[in-house]
Amino acid sequence: MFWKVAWRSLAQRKASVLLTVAALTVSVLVLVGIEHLRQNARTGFARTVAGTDLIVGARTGEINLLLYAVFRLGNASNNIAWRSYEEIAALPDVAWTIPLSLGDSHRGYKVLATNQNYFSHFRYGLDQALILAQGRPFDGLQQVVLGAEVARRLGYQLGEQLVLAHGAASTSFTLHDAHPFEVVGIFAPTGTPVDQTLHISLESMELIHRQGSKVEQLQPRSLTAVMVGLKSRIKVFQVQRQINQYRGEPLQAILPGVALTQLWSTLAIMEKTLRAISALVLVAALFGMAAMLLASLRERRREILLLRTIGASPLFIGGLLQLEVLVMTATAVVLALGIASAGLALGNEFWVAKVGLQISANIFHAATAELIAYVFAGALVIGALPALGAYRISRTVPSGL
Amino acid sequence: MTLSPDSPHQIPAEHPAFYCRELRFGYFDKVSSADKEVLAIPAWQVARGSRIFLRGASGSGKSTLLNLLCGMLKPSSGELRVLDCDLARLSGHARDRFRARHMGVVFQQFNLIPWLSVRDNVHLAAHFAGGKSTVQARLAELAEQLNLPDALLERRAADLSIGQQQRVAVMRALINHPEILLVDEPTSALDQDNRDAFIHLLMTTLDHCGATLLFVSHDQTLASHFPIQLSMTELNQAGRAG
Repeated sequence: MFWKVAWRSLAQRKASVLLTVAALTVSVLVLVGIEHLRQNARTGFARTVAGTDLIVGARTGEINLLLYAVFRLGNASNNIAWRSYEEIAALPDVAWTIPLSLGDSHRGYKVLATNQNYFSHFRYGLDQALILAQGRPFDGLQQVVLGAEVARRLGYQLGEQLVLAHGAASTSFTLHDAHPFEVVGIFAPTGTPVDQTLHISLESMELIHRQGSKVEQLQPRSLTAVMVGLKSRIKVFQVQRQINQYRGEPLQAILPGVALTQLWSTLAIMEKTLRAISALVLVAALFGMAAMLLASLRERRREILLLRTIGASPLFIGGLLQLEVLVMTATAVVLALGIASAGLALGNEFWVAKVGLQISANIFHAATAELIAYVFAGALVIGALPALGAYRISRTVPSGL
Repeated sequence: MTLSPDSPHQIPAEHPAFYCRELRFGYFDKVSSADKEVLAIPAWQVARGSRIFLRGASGSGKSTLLNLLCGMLKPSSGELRVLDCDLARLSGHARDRFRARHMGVVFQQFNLIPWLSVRDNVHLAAHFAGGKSTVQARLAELAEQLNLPDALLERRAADLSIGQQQRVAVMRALINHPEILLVDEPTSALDQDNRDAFIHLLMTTLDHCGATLLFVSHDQTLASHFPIQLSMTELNQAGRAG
């Protein structure tokens, strides 16, 4: 009976109830959506590089090195000499190295020169290796392997020819048009900066920059950075110290996991701001609901007193209002979760393409449950206002009797 | 002034429906910053099964009296027993339950929750009284006595005519077999024909259940339907010397 009365009472005020539920739905959607994106962005971010123990570059800030070596953002202040690279690779604890040389671009996408180790040792996510969706790794000069987004956005197929540009700008005046490249492979999407990169061999890089050189002399003289894998992770600090104290030139080795966490924490203020805003949106919607119910009390005064005369206790009246609050909140939560799930499932492609972020369509995890608990707690606290109002009315004496 | 001993409502009864002694109700008036006495009844009792016409204009204290009798108000002083029960001693919840079980109330208007069906309105009253399984049968019985067709029971209360609403109100008031029926100006919104029909139906329905009826109205023309008549000016001694 309690349920029936609450339900009919809500159905009675359809328009204002629907608007209130809509406002609540939007706010819960914002709250849950932002939290979900935040979590996914964080994991996605932390998984940009995996399996690499150290990243070595010229001495600069840790985050700066991470930005240009991993995210291809900004430029290296200095390069490292080929000889230094050879010495690092020869250290007894080093298992493998991936040399990285950056600097050129193709229509806004960065070009990375590296070697075969990139295909065999680079890991991302939960220790996932790079997979070629089509074609094969480069094995000679003037061959390029494209990241998934580069291929998709620019519409390149295997076997097509393309020309690299000198420098990072999307419209460069210096084109390496004497040396066109052939697309030999395309990577599967990873949700990491790999998707936005064109990969060529170090020798190809030398070739296009040292016009006229003989093919045998294509040994590069310098590199931008080196990714290092160790035989044993225990040695990581020891090797880091060795590299940092290298006498040949000022080098710096960073632990990518630590640097990624540091970089993410610089974004913490943005995270907190987003959360605060979504919490405020929710509070606003809850106050809206309370205001709607309080306003309705004026017209419900006679109903309340009638219920009292036929024997309803003040608790029944207050409880009725709280139940209405719960019904509206629960409806909004179900709607919001449904919309969020559907939106993520349908828009998955959009997310990967637009933000380069693999967003899980499953929003039903612990963090969401916690948020929903807060939503209900907030609803009950703020819903107590109209409930108390109704309770107070029910304690007054009917004048109509 | 005391009531004359030969007044019919003064006949001592073994277990009266209502019993008042030195019953007073007043409140603190903020305007005159003094206690204001609204109701003072030196002695009054009503035998069970009586049908009483209580004549009273607004401001005569009749609303206060009805609120006291059904336990929505507590007396300031004096004794009030309803069905041998001292309402002032009951907890709030117990008073609500007592009212639901033992009393039916019909007002001048707004007797029903407009957005519930007739059936739900009646069931709600049964619910507050503890909801018995015999409600369905009782509902059908009352519907027949009050000339309310089945089809009407499923309609929203707001969609009924005033006359139908008042009959449903009586049905709602009587669903829990109350010992007491309090009726306050139930016919003032009805025209002459409906008024007589309503009183007639009310009386025949009461013939079946034998509840005590306190019928409050300012309309003297209705008094002839009642064996016992009383006026608030007679009953309420508030503001009078002595």
